[in-house]
Amino acid sequence: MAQYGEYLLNGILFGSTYSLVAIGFTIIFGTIHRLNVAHGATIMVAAFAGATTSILLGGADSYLALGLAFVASVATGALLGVLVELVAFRPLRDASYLTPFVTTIAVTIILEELFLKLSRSVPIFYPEYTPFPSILEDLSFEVGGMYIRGVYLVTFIVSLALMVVLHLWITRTRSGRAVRVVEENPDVARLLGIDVRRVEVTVFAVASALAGAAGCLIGMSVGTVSPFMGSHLLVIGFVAIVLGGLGNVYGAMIGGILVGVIETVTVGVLAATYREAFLFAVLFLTLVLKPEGILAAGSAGRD
Amino acid sequence: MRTSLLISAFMILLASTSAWAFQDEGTVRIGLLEAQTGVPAPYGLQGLEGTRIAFDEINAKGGVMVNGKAVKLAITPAPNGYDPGADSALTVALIKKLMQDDQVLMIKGTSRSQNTEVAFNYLNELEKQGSPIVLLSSAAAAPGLGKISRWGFRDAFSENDIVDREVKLLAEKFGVKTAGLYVVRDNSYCTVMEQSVILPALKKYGIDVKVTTDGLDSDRDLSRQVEQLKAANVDAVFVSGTTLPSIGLMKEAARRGFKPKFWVGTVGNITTEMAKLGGPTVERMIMGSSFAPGAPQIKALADEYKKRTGQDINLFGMNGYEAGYLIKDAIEKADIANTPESLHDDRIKFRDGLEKASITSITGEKLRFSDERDTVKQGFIITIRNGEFVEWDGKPTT
Repeated sequence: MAQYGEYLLNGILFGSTYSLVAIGFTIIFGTIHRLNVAHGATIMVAAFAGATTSILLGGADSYLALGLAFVASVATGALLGVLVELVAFRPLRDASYLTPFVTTIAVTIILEELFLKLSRSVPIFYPEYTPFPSILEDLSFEVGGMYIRGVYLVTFIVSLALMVVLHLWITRTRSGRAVRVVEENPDVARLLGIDVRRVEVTVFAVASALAGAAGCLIGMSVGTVSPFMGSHLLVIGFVAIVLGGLGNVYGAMIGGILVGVIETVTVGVLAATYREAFLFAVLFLTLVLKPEGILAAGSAGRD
Repeated sequence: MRTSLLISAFMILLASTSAWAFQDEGTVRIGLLEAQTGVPAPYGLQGLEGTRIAFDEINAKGGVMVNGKAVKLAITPAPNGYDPGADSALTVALIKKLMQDDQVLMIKGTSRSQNTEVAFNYLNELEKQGSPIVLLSSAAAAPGLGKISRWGFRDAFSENDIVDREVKLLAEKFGVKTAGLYVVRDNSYCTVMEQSVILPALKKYGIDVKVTTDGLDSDRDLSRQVEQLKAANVDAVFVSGTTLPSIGLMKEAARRGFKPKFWVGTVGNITTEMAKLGGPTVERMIMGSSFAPGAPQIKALADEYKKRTGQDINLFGMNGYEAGYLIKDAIEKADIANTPESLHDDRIKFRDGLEKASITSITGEKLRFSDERDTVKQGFIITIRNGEFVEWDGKPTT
């Protein structure tokens, strides 16, 4: 019985990183009603920034170095997010809603191939997987017969803290409330004197900073980063936001944890080979029974 | 008018330039189709560079003898061939392009079993269409692929023999009686290895398979797999997996205090990352390889590879290098004319030449193709020590 409890707990703990991925994805969708496919690549680049910092500063032996790696990932994610907005979204503001889908796929491919090449030319990187040294790697403990990895617990605590900060930002600050207004109706936001473009850039920066945090935490948990790690996480993030409700931040939080639990429990109770099949079966059922997701977003849209 | 005349003259010049290719040009065109981007890039790039080193060596010594004249091996298109990435459809399209537009004698590629399976099936299609061509892969090692097409050849490393030897040793010398298996299911090589190589060998030597656990390449949490292996308390664990889940499994086992006498891997574990990232937990895992790392006879090649790429040569680079020399030997045995007009016949003759090709590898082993068009290599049992692959000293893993 403790074994099943362990699968459930690990699902919740690790699923919190999926929540961060999904939140970033969904804030952008909720604000500009466009999918940012480059979100996965942002996670990857930010994870590389964290791994590089950890390698150079000795993250395997130092909590401080690991903390700096986290900061590097978050900052890289935010910067890259702003760049993606500038390159792949802003020039196409009046184009079809599908156009940024294509441009962000292009950004993804360019970044993946760039990091593949860097992986083969930068001496501290490796061709397939680059290490993300972490002092937390071998930390583990048992609670009630359940084996818990320290890195999962830290990941969960950090993710939860970020979600709380995000909640406070959205609900308690002027800029956060501006984001909500733009999400609801950008035209009304303009009439209220809100600088919509500035809000959009802020949203990209915040969403991508969360992606950076997710990249760092996932890289730390797995122990490695790779040029293609973002593609899988993008799919996971998409499933999480559809489960939780497109454009809904709290839905994305729940969706991410749900995906983590479904994955871990399916692997533990059934078999690894059923993991994705079961996940997509749940997604299919959700779309049939509650197409708007667990928590629906506001109905206002631009198109 | 004058401009169009000039353009026409230029086009005629271009057309005649391509007609100068082949023997008149002093080259034999060899198509290269190795993955340089995407997931299989680590294997494709090793194969590409290994073959390029071999071609450079051959060309530096004058080239290959064709029709009484020494001609150079020309990678087509220069300098790196085409890159199909992990895309099987693109692989097929590029085979067609190399054959029709680039007019190559044969194609060296592709870089992983999934793509090669599709490519070999396409070779049968080409044969039916009356335009056959040889594809020689130095990376696709999944057992049974050689049966698909008489035009598909492989100088990969088939693990049948080495796994048999490993299991025999474990059973007879070390008294291993029980085993557990871990298989990555979304990689065809891993599942074929389990079914066609590892399980038959274990059965042959009377080792009882207590548990088979599996996972996916993208698995991050391997606690369930380790718990299953630990509960079965097996003497040896056979890991048929790719780098990351294999490292993850062994690290999780170490964290949970599970220490079988032996961890046994496959060629899928012979990667730089396995040795460098696995740390102490993967030390002494054993696996089969086509060459013994650190052997004096491969030092010059390993140094040259490192000089060119900054990385260590591995099994895939070594296979690519051998493939270069097998291509040379096949050309010299094929009696080709090497002209645009003779290309169709030359491709058929090259296939016959490859069947007869026989070289002494840099490892000292005699190489030739089997009836299923695979080179048979005796191989070496290797292990990881101090972050490096070395020949196994015959001691237990843990």
